[in-house]
Amino acid sequence: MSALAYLLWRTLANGLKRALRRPSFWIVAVLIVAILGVSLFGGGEIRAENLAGEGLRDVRELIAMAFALNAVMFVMLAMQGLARGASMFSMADVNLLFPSPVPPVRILMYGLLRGLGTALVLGLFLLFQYSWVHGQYGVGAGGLLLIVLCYGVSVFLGQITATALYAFSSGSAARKRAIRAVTACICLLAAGYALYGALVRMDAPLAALVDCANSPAMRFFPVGGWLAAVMSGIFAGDFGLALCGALPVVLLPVLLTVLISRMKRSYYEDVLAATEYQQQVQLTRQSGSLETAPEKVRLGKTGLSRGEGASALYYKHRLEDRRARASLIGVPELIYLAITFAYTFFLRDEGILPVLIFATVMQVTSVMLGRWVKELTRPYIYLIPEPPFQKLLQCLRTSLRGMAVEAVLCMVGVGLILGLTIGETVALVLVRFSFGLLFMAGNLMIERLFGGLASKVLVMLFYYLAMIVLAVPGTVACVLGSVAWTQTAGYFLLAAVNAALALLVAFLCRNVLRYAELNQR
Amino acid sequence: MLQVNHVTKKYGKVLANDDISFSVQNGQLAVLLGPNGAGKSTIIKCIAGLLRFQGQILVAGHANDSLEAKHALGYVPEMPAVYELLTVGEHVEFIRRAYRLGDEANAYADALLERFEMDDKRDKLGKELSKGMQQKLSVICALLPRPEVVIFDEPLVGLDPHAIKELKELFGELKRGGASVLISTHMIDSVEDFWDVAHIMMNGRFAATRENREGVDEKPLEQLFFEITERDKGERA
Repeated sequence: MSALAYLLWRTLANGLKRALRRPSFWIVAVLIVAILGVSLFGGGEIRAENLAGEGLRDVRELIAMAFALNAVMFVMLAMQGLARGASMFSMADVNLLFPSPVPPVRILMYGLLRGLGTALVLGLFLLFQYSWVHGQYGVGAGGLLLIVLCYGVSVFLGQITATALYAFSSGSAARKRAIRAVTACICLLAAGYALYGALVRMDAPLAALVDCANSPAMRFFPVGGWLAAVMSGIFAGDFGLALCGALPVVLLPVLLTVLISRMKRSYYEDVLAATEYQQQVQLTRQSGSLETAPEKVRLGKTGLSRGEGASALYYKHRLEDRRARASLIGVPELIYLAITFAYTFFLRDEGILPVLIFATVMQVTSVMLGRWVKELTRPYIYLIPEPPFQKLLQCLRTSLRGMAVEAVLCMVGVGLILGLTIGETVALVLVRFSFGLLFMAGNLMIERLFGGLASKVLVMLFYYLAMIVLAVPGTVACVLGSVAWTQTAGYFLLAAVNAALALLVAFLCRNVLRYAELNQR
Repeated sequence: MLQVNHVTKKYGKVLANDDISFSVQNGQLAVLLGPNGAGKSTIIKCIAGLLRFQGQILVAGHANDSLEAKHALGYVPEMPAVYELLTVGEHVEFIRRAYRLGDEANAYADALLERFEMDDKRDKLGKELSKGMQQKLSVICALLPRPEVVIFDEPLVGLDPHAIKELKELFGELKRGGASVLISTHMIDSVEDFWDVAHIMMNGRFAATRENREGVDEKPLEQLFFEITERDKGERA
C-alpha cells in the first residue's frame, strides 16, 4: 500500500474507531436516524395529501433552488482563491507530506480526494430536507442523493478552482483585477437576466425566477448551471442534457489539476498560506469564537478612554469591534432580515402570528454573544477582581445595542408590510428584543451547563431544546393575555416575561466566570 | 504568601494532582520541576482560579476565588494570552482600568514596557506581535497590579536572550520586594541561580522537595531531577 493510501485509510479508520467509542456519537447517530426516519414517513404522508389535493409542485422550483445554492457556494469558494487560496490539506500534511519524496501531483490528488470527502459530508445536511422535498415535489431518495452529490461537487470544484486561481493570480494585482472583473460580469449578467424576467412578469415574479433559473442560458453558468443541467436531465429522463452538464463538471477538475501542476514548479507555497489560515480559523472556532481578526486592521484612535473595573471589558469590546469592523448588525442578520421581509410579504394576508413564529425561529440561530465567547478563552476575565455577575453583564452589554437596532429594523419593516398600528409594532419590537435577551441567556445557560462537552452537535441539540423550554413561559403568558385582554396586550406580556426570565437565567449562571474549566471547549 | 493545602484535581478518571500541599512564603521563590504530564500546569491553573479542585488554596490569606485573592495574584500563562485587536498600550490601559489601579500605575507600566523593550511597540496590535513579544506583554500585564503572589507557567519559553535576562533579574527583584513567586518550568538551568525551594513533580505528586540552603553543598538540582525521574522510569519498567 502506498504511503498516501495508507494515510487516507488509517485516518478514516482511526477517526471511525474514535467516534464509535464516544457515547455522544451514538446519541447523535440515533437522533439523525430518528430525524431521517420521521422525514421519510412524513414525506410520504405530505406527498399523499398533496396528490389528493392541489397536486405536487413543479420540480423545476427545486432545481432552481439547487442551482442558486450551488452557484453561490462555487462562486464564494472560488473567489477565496484571490485572497488566500483554498486548501484541502491539513497542517500535518503540509509539515509531513510536502517535504517528503512523494511526487507533488500525487499529493495534490490525495488532497483533492480529501476535499471531495469533506464536501460530501457537508452536503449531508440536505438529507434532512427529504420530508419536504418528497412531499412537495415527489422527489425520491435517489433524487435527493443526487442533489446532495451535486452540492458536494460544487463545494469540491469551488475549492480546486480557488487553489488554481490563487496559483494563477498570487503576486499579480492585474490578474486578480481581471478575475474579479470577469466574475462580476458573469454574476451581474445572470442577476440582470433574472431581474429582467421578474420585472417583465410582475404578476408572478417567483414563477419568472424559476423559469429563468431553468432556462438554457443559465445552463452555461459555471458549475451551478452545469449541475442544474445534470439534475434536470436526470429528473426529466433527458440523458443528453444530463451528459452535457456532466461533461464540463468532469473536465474542469482534470483541467485545473493539470494547470496547477504545470503552472509553477511547486504549488506548495500557494497551499501553505491557505492551510495556515484554515488552521487558525479552526483553532479559533475550537476555542469558542466564530470570528478571527481581519487581516488588515485600521488602528484609528487608540485607548479605551473609559471604564473602570468590570466596565473596562465593555469599552474594550467596543474598541475591538471597531477594529474588527463589526457593525451593529452583521451581514448574516441583514440576510435574515431580508428573508423575514420576503416571508412577511408572501404571507401578508395571514396576520402577525405566522410571521412572528417564523422570525423567532430564525432568531434562535442568529443570536450571537458578541465577544463574550472569545473572552472566555483568555484568562483575564477570570482574573479581574470584580464580581462575576458584573463582568457577565458588561460582556453582554455590547450585544444589546445590536440586538435593539435589529429588533427595531425587523419589526418596523414587518409592521409596514402588514400595515400594523404603532402600538402593535412597538409590542412586536419589544417581543423581538425580549426573545433576543432570552436566547442570549439560553446561550449562557448552555455554556454554564454543557460548556465542557466535547460534542458540538450535542451542545447544539441541548441549545435548541433549552430555547424551546425557555420560550414556554412567555408563550403561555401571551396566550393568557390575549384571551383576557387583546392580542397586543398578550405580546407586551410575552416581552415582559421573556425579559424577566432572561435576567433570572443570567443571574443563575453568573458563576460561569468562576472557573475557566466550566467553559472548556 | 501562597498556601496550597491538600489539593487534588481529577480530569475525569485521570488524577492530575494527588493531595498536593506546599507553601511559598513572602520573599521566597519556589520552582515546580517535572517531566511533561507531571501535573505542574494543572496545579498552576488551580492556583490561578482557572480550574476546580478539592482542597484549599490561599493567596495572601484569602481563598483563591475571592476578589481579595484576585487582587493579590499575578498569573503568566504558558501560552501568551493577548487580545489580537488591542495595541500593547491598550493592554496596559485595560489592565489598569480593570484592576482599578488609577493613573499612578502609568509610571510603573512605562518602566515595565521599557524594561522589556516594548515601549516602542505601544501602537502594535496583539496580532502583530511575535510569540516572544506576546509573552513579554503577558508578563507586563501580570506584573502591573504589583501582585503579592506571582505564578509563572513556563515563562522563559520563546523569549529572546535579553528578555530572559530581564525576567531573571525581575524574579530576584520580586523576591527582594517581598512577593511570593512560583515558577513552573522544564528549563532547570534557568532557575538554578535563584531558587529557594524546588518541588519535583512526578505523576501528580511531589517526588521530592529540596531547599536551597546557603553553605550546604548538595547535588545540583539537575542531577537530583534526573536521579528521581529516571529512577521512577526504571521502577515502572
